[in-house]
Amino acid sequence: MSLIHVENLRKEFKRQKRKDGFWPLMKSLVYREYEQKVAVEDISFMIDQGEIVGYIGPNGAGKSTTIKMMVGILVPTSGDVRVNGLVPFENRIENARKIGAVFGQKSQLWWDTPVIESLRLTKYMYEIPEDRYQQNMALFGDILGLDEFKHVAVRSLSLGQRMRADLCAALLHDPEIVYLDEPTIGLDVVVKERIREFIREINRERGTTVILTTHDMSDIEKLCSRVMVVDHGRLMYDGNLNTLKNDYGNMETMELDTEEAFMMDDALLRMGISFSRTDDARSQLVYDKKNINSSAVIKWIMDRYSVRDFKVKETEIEEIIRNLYAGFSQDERQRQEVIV
Amino acid sequence: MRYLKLYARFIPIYFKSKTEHGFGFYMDFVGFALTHIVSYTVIWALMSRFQTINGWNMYEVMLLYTLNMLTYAVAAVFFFFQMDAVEEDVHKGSFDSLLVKPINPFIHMIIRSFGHFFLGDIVIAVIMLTFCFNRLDIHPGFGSLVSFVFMLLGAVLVQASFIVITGSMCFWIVRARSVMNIVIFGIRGFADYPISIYSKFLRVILTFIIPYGFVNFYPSHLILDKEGGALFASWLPYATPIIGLLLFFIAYRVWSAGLNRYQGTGS
Repeated sequence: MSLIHVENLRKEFKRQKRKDGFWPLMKSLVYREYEQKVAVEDISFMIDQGEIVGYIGPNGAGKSTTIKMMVGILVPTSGDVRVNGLVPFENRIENARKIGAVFGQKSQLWWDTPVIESLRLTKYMYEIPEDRYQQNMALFGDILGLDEFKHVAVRSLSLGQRMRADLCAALLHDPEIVYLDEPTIGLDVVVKERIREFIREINRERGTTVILTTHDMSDIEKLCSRVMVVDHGRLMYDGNLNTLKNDYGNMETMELDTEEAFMMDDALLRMGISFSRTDDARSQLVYDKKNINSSAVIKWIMDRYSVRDFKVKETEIEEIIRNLYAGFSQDERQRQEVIV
Repeated sequence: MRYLKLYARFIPIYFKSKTEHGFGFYMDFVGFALTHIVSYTVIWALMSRFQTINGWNMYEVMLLYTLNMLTYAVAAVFFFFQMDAVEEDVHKGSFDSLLVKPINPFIHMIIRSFGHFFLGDIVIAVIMLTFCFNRLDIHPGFGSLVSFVFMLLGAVLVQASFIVITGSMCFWIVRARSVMNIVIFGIRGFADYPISIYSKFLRVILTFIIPYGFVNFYPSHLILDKEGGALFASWLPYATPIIGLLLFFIAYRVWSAGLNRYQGTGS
C-alpha cells in the first residue's frame, strides 16, 4: 500500500467580496457577501515510500493548500487524505510525530532562541533519544554547515542559514515524510546546492519520502523523479520529468548580442527558428529543441557574425504549464469537434 | 507530566535569551511597577477625602485593588504575551508552526514564552497584601488561609479565561487586540473598587455575565467579614473556584472553536 493516499481532495474558501465606494462599503458592514473560491479541485494521487515528488505550479495554484491538508493544518472540504493510514486533521498530533515540515518563508524554530537551543527544544518536544540526536546532529551539522551559526539567535540568521537550521530541525526526529514548501526560495546557488545535497542524502540513507514545492526548475531536475503539476486547483500532470519536458518544454530561447546588426535570414526560418528583438535591442531566437540543438544554431551564427555574448534559456516552469494548459484545452476542443 | 518536563526545558532558555538584553530586562519590571504606585496614590487621595465608600474603608479598597492586580499578574505570566503572540502569528501566517508540532497547540502556546514582566507586579502585590492585612488587623488561621488561597486560584482562572477568550478573537476578527484591551484594561478596571457601589445593572453583569466580581470582591468576603454580606446570595464568595473552572473550560472551548475555524480557512 502506498504511503500517501489522496482521493478527490477538494478545498473551498469563503472570501468576503470587496466593495468599492462609500455606500457599498457601509452596506458590507451590516450585510456581508461571500464568494466561494475553489483552491483545490478533486485532486487524486498516491505517493510511495522513498519517492521525491516535486509539486509545481504557478502562485495561487493550490500547492500549499494541498500540502497543508496533507500535514493536517487544514481540513478538506471534501475528499480523502490518508497518510500512513491516518487522517491527518483528525490525528494531527500523532501524524506530526512522523512528519517534518518546512514552510519556506516562516521559521518553525523559536524566534529568540539560539539555533542550538532551538534544536535541543525540538529534541525534547519530539522525545528524540539522546544518542539518536547526537548522531543526527553530527550528520546534518556536517552537510548543512550548521557550526558557523550554531549560537546565533534564530531571528538574526540570514535567510539561507535559517533555512538550513529549519531543515535540520524538521528532520531531527527521523520523520518518514518531509514536506518542503519552497525550500530554496531566495537562496544563493551555494546554499541551494547544499540543501539539495542534504535532501538527496536523507532520501538515499533513510528512505525518507520527500514532497517539495518549488519555482526553481533545477530543484526539480536535480532531485525529483516525479513531478505533479497543479494549476487552478487541478492536477494537470503527474509523471516523470523528462516526459513533461519533452512534451511541453521543447522550446528553447537564445539571446544574442552581436557586433554587427543582426538580420533575420530565410535560412534561419527554414531551420524553424523564429526571431524577435528584446527590449534592450538584443536578438532573441526561439527554436524547437527536437528539431535543432543550440550548438547548431550558435555555429551557424558564429560563422556569419562576431558574437559578443549569448545566453540559452530553457523553457521556464510557467511556460511549460502554459503549454500544458494550451495542450489541455486543445485536446478538449478536438474532442468537442469530434463530437460535432 | 510530559508537558511539565517540557516547560522546565523551555523556561531556562527563555530567560537566557531575555537576560541577554541586559539592562532592558530589569527595566521591564520597574516600568510596570510604577503604574501601580500611581494607582495606589489615587486610592489614597480619594479615600482620605471620603473615608469610606459603601462601607469599605481605604485599606479594604486597597486590598481589592491588590487582589485584582495579583490574580491578573499570575494569570498574565502564563497567558498575556502568549495570547498576544498568537494574534501576531495568525496575522503573519506563522501560526501553522504550532499545528505541525506533536503537542497540543494550547500547551505549546503557554510554554513557549513567559511573562516575566508580571513578576514585578506579583512582588508588589504580595507586599501590599501583607500591608493591608496588617492595617486591617486580619490574622487568618491556617485553615482560612488555605481556603483563601483556593479562592485566589479560582480568581486567577477567571483572569486567565478572559485573556484566552479575548485573545482567541484573533481567529475571527482582524483587530482582536482592541477587544483584549477593552476587556482587560477597561472592564477589569471596574473591579478595582467594590462592585456593590455600581448600579444593579452593572452588578449583574460583573457577577453573572463578565464575572470580574470574582477576582476580588466575592473572595475578599471570606477574610473581611463584611456586614451585609455579598450581593445576590451569601454562598457566592465560595463559588469562586467553581466559577473559575467553569470559565476556564469555556475559554478552552472558545480557543478550540477558533482553532477549528483556522483549520477551515487557514487564515
